[in-house]
Amino acid sequence: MFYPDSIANLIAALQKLPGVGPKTAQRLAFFILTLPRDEVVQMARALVNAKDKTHYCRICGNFTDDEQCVICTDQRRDPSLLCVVQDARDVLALERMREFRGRYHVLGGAISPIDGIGPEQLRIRELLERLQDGQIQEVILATNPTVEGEATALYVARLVKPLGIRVTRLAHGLPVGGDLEYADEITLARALEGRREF
Amino acid sequence: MRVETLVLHNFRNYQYIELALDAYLNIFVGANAQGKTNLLEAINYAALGRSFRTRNEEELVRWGSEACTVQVGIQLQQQRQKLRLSYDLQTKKKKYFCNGVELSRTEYVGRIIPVLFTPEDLAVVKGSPQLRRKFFDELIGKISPLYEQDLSRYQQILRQRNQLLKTQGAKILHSAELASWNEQLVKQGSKVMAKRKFAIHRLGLLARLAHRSLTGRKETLTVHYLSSLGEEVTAPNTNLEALFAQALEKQAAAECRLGQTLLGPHRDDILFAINEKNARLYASQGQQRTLMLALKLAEIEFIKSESGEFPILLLDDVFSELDQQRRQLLVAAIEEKVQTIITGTAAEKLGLMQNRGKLFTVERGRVRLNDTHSANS
Repeated sequence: MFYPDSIANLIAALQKLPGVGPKTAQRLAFFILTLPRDEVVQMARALVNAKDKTHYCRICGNFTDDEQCVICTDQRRDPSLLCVVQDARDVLALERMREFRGRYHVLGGAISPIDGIGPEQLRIRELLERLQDGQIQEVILATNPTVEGEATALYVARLVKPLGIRVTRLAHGLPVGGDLEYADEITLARALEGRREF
Repeated sequence: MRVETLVLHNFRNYQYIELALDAYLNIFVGANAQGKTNLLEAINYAALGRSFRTRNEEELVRWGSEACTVQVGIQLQQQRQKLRLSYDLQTKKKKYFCNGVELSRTEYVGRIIPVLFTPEDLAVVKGSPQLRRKFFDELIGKISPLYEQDLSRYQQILRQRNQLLKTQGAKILHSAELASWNEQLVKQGSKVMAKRKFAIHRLGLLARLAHRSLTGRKETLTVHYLSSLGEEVTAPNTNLEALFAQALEKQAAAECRLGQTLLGPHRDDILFAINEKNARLYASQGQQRTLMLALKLAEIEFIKSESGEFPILLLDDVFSELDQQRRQLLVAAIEEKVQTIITGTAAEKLGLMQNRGKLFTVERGRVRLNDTHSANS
């Protein structure tokens, strides 16, 4: 298939997005061509604007348009609780539940020697600096339950525990509201392993 | 556990076949390259969702077709089920069905448990430690579906840790980073070792019994778990995690120097000894065959004791490898208990059919039931 250069460029650009293959890119490109010019300009500006304005929060590493993110500046938050996550997206997931009243620390990834990521590549030094003033009394490790996420949690725990701060890890458990019989075997096995005294 | 019907559609060299199998004995004969082993492969594939001949599933689809399907009608604990597995060339995906309902892989696998015996199995005795680990890993996987997951998680930890040791070397000795990988390696590795320890011990006892009767009580087979952590692993009530962690501590400097993980289940080996001599080194061809046969018979009993049902026995061309006496002992051991599916090049040589079971002839992707042998089945 031959396209004019302008369309080919657009398709190539869209294909860089995660989860977008050649076919979807083509569909999106043709859709964009049918939009009124204003909307396309708006879309393009939104892209550039987002890229220019957003950066990482100086304190927690979450996305923000300002120096500090809305969670770090929110005075109603409990300053003694800190939840450590891999990505800014994880903050969104945890915020959706509207239960957690503490603050966050985004590491920006997980330890993975195969990908060349060690502790120095993550925001672990920043985390330790945050813990210096003695306000934080509990660090909740909410990294992913993958091998890499687990290694990161274990590493952070090793550094934080000697500071006399309580360190906890998210539980691996059963999905709430589902029947036991519908849980997949792996989740069930991990839930059984992590069972608690009742 | 029985396979009652087998339907293949565009699988290997079969366009479409439907077979009704005998409850105990099924023999497929034919010249080479006619599709005998493909039938065993199909049953094994339908049972485990994996081919024993190739990792490249595209090979399973008949030339010029889009997808292949294997369907087996099984009887399990007095209940009939229809299992269907299909592989699509375009999406490169498999779909698993039971009685028409689509299932996930973990839900599907393990309903029928096959025990496969091929001439290549001798490599378990003669070959590298990797092949012996694979033999036990596959066995454990058949009775404990989550084992595969445990093993692959261990291997992922191992890859990461090896990379760390290789790139950082002595710099990370005594570091918190290495310690956090050690913690995971120990925990996951101990899980794998515990399951291997159990399986090697149980299978070892059953194999010794089988071997004793195969050799007319002249030889004694022992199966030992050889761990990189030493003898202590095999002692009852060993705290594997503590043992592993201590050993790792001692080897830390060497590991940093060499840039790889020196201890753990990835270094396991299994020793087969006949009258206390290493069978890999000192046993004759004939003794090694008998040993392998004993292991397979033990595998049948092991699966029966763990799952409550006898497995399906698939024998690919192994009868030609055994002498008359061993054939009779094998037949005696499986008779009337285990559904057996055998391939071979000539029926006469098999010397099995005494008006029992079904004899099929395989020729260029077609299967014919020989009437003369179908009596009493």
